[in-house]
Amino acid sequence: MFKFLKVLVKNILQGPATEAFPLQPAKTPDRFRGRVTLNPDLCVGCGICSHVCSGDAIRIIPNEEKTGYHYTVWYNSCCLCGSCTYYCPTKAITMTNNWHNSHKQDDKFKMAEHHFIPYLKCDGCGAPIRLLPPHLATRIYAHSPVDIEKIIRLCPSCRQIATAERQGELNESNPE
Amino acid sequence: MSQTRNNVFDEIKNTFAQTDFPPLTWTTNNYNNLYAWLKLENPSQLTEAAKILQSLQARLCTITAYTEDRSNAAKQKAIAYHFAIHDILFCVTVQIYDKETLEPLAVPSITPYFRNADWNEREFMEMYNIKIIDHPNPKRLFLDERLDAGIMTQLIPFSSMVHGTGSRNLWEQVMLEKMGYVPESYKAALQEPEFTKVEETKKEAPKPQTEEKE
Amino acid sequence: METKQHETKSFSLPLGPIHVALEEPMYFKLELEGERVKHVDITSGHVHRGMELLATKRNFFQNVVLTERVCSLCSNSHPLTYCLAVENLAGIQVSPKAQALRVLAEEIKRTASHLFNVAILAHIIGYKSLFMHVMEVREIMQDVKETVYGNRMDLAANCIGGVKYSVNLELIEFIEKSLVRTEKHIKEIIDIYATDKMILRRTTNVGRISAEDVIKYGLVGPVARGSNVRIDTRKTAPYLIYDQLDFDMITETGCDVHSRAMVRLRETLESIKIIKQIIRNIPEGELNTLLPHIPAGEAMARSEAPRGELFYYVRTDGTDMPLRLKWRVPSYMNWDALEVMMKDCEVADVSLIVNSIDPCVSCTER
Repeated sequence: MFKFLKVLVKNILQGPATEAFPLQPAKTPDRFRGRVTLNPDLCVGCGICSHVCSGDAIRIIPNEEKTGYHYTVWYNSCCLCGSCTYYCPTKAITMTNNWHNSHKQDDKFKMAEHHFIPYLKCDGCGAPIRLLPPHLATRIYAHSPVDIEKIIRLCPSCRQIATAERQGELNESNPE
Repeated sequence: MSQTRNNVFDEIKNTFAQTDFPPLTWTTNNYNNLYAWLKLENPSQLTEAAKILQSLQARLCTITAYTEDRSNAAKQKAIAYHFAIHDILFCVTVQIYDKETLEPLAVPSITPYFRNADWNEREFMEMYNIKIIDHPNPKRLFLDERLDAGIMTQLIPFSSMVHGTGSRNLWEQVMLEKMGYVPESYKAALQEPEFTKVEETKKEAPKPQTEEKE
Repeated sequence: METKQHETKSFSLPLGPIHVALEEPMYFKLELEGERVKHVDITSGHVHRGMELLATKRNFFQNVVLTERVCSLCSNSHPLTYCLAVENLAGIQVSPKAQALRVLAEEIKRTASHLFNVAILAHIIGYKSLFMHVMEVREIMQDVKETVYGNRMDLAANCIGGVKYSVNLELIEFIEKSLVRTEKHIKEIIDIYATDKMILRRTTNVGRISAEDVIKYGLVGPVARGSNVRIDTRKTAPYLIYDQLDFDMITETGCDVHSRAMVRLRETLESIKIIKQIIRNIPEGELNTLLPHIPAGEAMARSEAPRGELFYYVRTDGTDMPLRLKWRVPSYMNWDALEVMMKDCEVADVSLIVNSIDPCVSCTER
């Protein structure tokens, strides 16, 4: 009993262990997995996020005219597992450390993020595409002689042709 | 491989070589853990296998009942018994239906040899409607007596039961809040949510019992 | 005369599923003779959610998250063992770096889980200030989890083929600092639990189970080790990098509630020892294999969760969803053995004995 009294005295001297939230801000680590957010500029619409999403919180649905797609995340069925962020190839969807998710029952359907993300036309064939994010293109084509500015505006098959043509031109000029 | 493991490995191999059972298959993983697989021909061999495993000082890890095929949920069932002998995992699999008629066969209880098979056997009795012979304590484990046994082969997700309407309404509400209207393509795409697609491909998918719901 | 008659009277006493001294919904029908428990009948199923069936309706990646939500206290062991099973099936090699990070997550969780259980022990015997203190120490590990992984319970550390997180120097220093604090406190707590008269009076020779019964009932984890049965998957069938780490298997010989608590407390120190070895020696390398294909087949895997051996069995048919996913948690056998531990115990000790198996109903019923 005496041993514990010692601990008790120490703890009393230390003062309260709890945080004074909401009177003071609560400490939140940078890595805290809070509400997700999408950067529509980086999204390529590959759908891996909704494939791995265990809460079924993400909907990616093209509009009728097929000129773009609606990207919707409903926060209330997101289980904050971070799989979408992890598997997203362009890191378009990320997690903030915002944990302030409490809301009134009436507001539940407002707890969502929605973006309409338009398609571009492929410079080669006109197929609807999303711009290949430049930071990703620089990595993919780091050792390739292609023009990054041009290649990101092409669809995957036109990109393949363009890369092959460029390689062919180079081989012709340096035939060793 | 350590000396003890070699001895245990030899002992298992020799013991089973003297029986009429089909030959064991051995596999290993990236961490050098060893796995033995035994496929019995019919459930009546189980008692004999249990006796041998008991003599090898096996510990029963668990028992898994399963249906062999996604599309044929109710009929072809099998059971996998998982044992640990020293650091070796030993899996005994047996199909519990008649190979020609597909009629289900009853399974002898191994609780007399492995005390902790009690709960496992009771669980698959109620979840998969498997008949057990001579179980010492054959009452319900998790399921209420009023529910039919075999629920794990009948159960369908709630979203499939209501044809995904719950999820459709939800997303329409979200779009209403965000855009003020529900895009037509949204309505069409939400007809069949991702989650329920498997159910649709089932040949003999159990029909949702809507009248019971009401 | 009147009192004597009363003492020997036998009656049955229902306990649970909702009860102040029980942490989880389980229904016990106790047959009593006076204050002594003569027979226990357990009725479960109050939180059965059909999760194994649900797992067959979702793809392999979604199931990592689903298994993490089977239970909160061993929430890292579930996805880890599930991933081990799937990796065994597909023959996926996990990099040494990912293995080290997996062990790191496991041991941080184990420390917090064990502290939680011994804190509840203090709570049940009415030693509230000690309960508060142990929970406060556990809070240091909770902060580690929140800072390193982003959540206090669900770490989301594992994925098929490796891990999803890495640690930088700043985090390593933070973990180290936290370990020093925790270790100091735990040593103090061990001393209190080993010598405090109030704890000893309530826990020694209570809920006894012999080594023979442990083997008969197939028990695992701190319950088995508290009865001096040497079962610890990390030692008996090493996985990940456990065979390269220096730590001891902790056993006690008392076979009672106190022994189990001491096993858990002393194991937290071993976990801290493991974490210390890892964080300064995390190898370089890839974190994981992205989106691997899972062929048809079957595989088993097991790991040592805080409560003991956790077992996973997976069957696949080449599609992206498992045909069958089965898991068996350590509590599964431990519940059944309560009938041995509670034999002839006092009614007042029932909840204490239940707590000593560190029960998890949500794990057991799935």
